[in-house]
Amino acid sequence: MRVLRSSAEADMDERRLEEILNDVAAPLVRHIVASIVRDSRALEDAEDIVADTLVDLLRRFRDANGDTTQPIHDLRRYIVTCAYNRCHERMRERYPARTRLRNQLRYLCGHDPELALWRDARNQLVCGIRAWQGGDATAWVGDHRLGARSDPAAENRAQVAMLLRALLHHAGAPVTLEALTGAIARLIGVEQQSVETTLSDLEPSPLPGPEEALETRVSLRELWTDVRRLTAKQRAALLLNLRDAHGRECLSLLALTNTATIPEIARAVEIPLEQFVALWNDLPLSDNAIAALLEVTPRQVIKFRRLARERLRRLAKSRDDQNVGPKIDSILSRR
Amino acid sequence: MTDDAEEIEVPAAIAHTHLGYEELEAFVDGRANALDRELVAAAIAVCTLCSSELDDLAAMRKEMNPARDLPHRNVEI
Repeated sequence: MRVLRSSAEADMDERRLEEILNDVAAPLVRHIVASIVRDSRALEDAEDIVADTLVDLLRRFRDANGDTTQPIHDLRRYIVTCAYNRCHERMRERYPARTRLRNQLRYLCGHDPELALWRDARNQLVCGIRAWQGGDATAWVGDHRLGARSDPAAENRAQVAMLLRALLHHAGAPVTLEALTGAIARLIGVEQQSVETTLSDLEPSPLPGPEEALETRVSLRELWTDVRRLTAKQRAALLLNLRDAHGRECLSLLALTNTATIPEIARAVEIPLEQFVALWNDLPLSDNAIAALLEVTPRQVIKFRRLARERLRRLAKSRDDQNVGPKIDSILSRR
Repeated sequence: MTDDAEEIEVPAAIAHTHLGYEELEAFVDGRANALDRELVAAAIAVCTLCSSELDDLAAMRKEMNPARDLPHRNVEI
């Protein structure tokens, strides 16, 4: 049976992670976030995004800790990429109307036979008339006025298409997708529309892990019942990577508490018992390892896990609403 | 907002959690494989952000060329 890591080892790991986070990640993340949000109206979001990114990094470092199958070769690059992605996602969540507009423009340019969409030397997405395809984007910023009806939901697609063509002809040269989105957003009034959502509204919030859950009499049995209602890939993505709030393996708690036997867990993740027992001591598995088992990509593993957690939260909430059982969503809402 | 994130090859461990534009587009255009369709279906069932973005692209596709089964696609990005 897998034994949880000692608290001394865990404390040492936590101190190392804290050093990396404070000395390396924090300055880098602040620089990246500042470079992205400086031209937008989202300056007030910058510190939130920095904090979110650091929390996200901490979780990912914990996940990666001790995972020899997926070492982080370039810490700086890892942090930079994570910061860019977190910033992008946060802006997407904070400004959904602008994101939808950007998607519409991207789709239009990518599918309209008269238009084109390509990447320039800096790898930015560039839009233009088909004859311009491959050219560099102009420095045009689209700061002019065209008559446009305010359409906050960006649902007047005909107007968006009309404005796209008008602005491209006005620019007379290729324009980056970001510049076009910004210009049309200002024209139709979606630029300032933000929603007061926090990441906790959109993602599972960090809540107590299984040990705390047990202490608060959370029913692992009900959790297990709900887990069995997930799809096979969701179950595998969730269970094979299951960790407590400190990043430690905790699938074994199901067996230790007689909630589920090891053969039952093996059946749930659809791995032959012999193979499952062989990998038991390697739990929690990395996303790469799970991806190889499921024959999917690591990115799909992440998404299956997120969807599993969300569905379990909903099942738990439904039970809470019916007041027929205790809260159990905390176990699954950690990441 | 920026596309800078796409300048860097994204390690799988730090991939986005919401559906990406490419996933949405492939689904709307009918190019998604069975696994990706399963992911999209599961995502829109639990995420209003992904769901609204998918609805939006589907409406855009319909508006662009309602008579065609699949829209023109200019370039692989």
